[in-house]
Formats: sequence, C-alpha cells, structure tokens
Amino acid sequence: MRETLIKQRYRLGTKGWFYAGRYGIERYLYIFHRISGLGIILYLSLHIILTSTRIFGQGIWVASMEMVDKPIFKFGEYLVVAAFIYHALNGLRLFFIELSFFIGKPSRQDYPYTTSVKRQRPFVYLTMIALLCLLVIMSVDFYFI
Amino acid sequence: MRESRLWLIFLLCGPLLIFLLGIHLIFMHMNTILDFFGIKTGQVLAYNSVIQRATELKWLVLYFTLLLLGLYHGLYGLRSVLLELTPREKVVNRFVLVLGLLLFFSGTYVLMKSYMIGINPS
Repeated sequence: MRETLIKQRYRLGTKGWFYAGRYGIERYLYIFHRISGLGIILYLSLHIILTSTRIFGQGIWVASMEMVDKPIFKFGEYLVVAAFIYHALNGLRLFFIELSFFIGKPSRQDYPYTTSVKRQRPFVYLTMIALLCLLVIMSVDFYFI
Repeated sequence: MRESRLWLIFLLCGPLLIFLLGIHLIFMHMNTILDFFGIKTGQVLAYNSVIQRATELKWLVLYFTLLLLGLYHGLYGLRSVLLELTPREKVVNRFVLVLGLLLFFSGTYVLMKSYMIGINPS
C-alpha cells in the first residue's frame, strides 16, 4: 500500500512540472522560476570553478578569460542575467505572497466560492511589466551599445 | 534544525541575494549603463583589477556573503526539486550537503588565497 502511494506521488516526475492544467499563468511562472533557478545554481557552481583560476597566476587567468570571450559564452552570460532578473522579480512576488500581502484578508467561505488567485493577479502583471523593462535595458546594454 | 526554520532562512535569503547579486551583476556586466551615470568601472576582469578587489574589505564581505547565501538558497531549492522526484530524503540531503560544503570551502579558499596574493604579490 505504502509503495503504491509512493509510486503514485512520484509517477509524473519532471513531466509533472510542464502540465499547468487549470492553474493558469501562475503555474507557468512557477515552471520558469524552477528552470531559471536550476540554471542559476548550475552557473554558480561553474562560476566558482572558473573564477578560482585567478589563484594560479596572471597567465592562467588571462587564458581562462580568453577561453570564455566568445559569442556563445556571451550569449550564455546574457541568459544567466535574464534568468536572474526573472527569478529575482518572480521570487520577490512569491516572497510577498508567502507573507500574505496582496491576497486580501481571510474570510468565511460562502457559496459561490471565490479564489484569492485573482486578487493577486494585478501584482503578477506588475511584475511582468517590470521584468520586461529590465530585460529591455539589459539587452540594450549587452548587445546594442 | 526544523524544516520550517530552514525554509524561513531560504525565504529571507531571497531579498538579500537580489540586493547583493544586483550590485555584483551591475558592476560586472552593466558597465555601459554605469558609464552613462558617470561611474567609471574600468577593466573589471583585468587580473590586477580582480586581485585589487580581493584585498578590499567591502568586496571581500560582498563575495563571502554572496557565496554563503547563494549556495544556501540555491541548494535548498535544488533539494526541494529533488525531493519532488524521489522519496530518498537522506540520500538527497547528503548529496546537497556535500556539494554545498565542497563549493563553500573551495570558494572561501579562493577568496583567502586571492587576498594573500593581493597583499603580498611576490
């Protein structure tokens, strides 16, 4: 019985992340939050290894910097900064919602039942507008100036 | 430590990381915008510049705090993701802890070694 429950709980695996069902836009934000978070932690590990080359002297440092001074790495760097901006803004939204801001006061549920999801929806839109503005500024800095 | 406390630390690390990582990213990657506001960063990735920063207390504190908070927040997140995929909690906990300690101590060693190189270049 216990094994069946465990199998049921884990049967979807990573596929379960990508099916939003009826959860709406917040569920897609959650998927991107997860992907950007995993990308950032992978980058952080590689960043610690790469920047440690400075302790082996100037020659090794210059060689490792030249190795990553290529368009593909520049694009990777762009993706990391974009992922950070997204993860930061969406994370800030989650932080406030976890602390019960923007979802209204709790009240007795009477029929027809309402959901607090729509109450925090304007905050979602505000976050997305801020995200768009920061992504445009960052893209201009990276590629157009 | 209780799970709720670990989660609360994870939550509080978030805004702190946004602030600290924001400073780091703007300084290292947004030099055009900083130039526009009259802040000259120069060649931030030049060896001498990197070693010079390693000897300054404000940068040392920033890098050490970033390392600590970044690893905690990131690896707690990774742990949550892995625990959704497997019921083997002990294995996941050990994996995340070993990875975290390895990265934390290697990062701290690099900070200390860079500081030593900076104050005594010979």
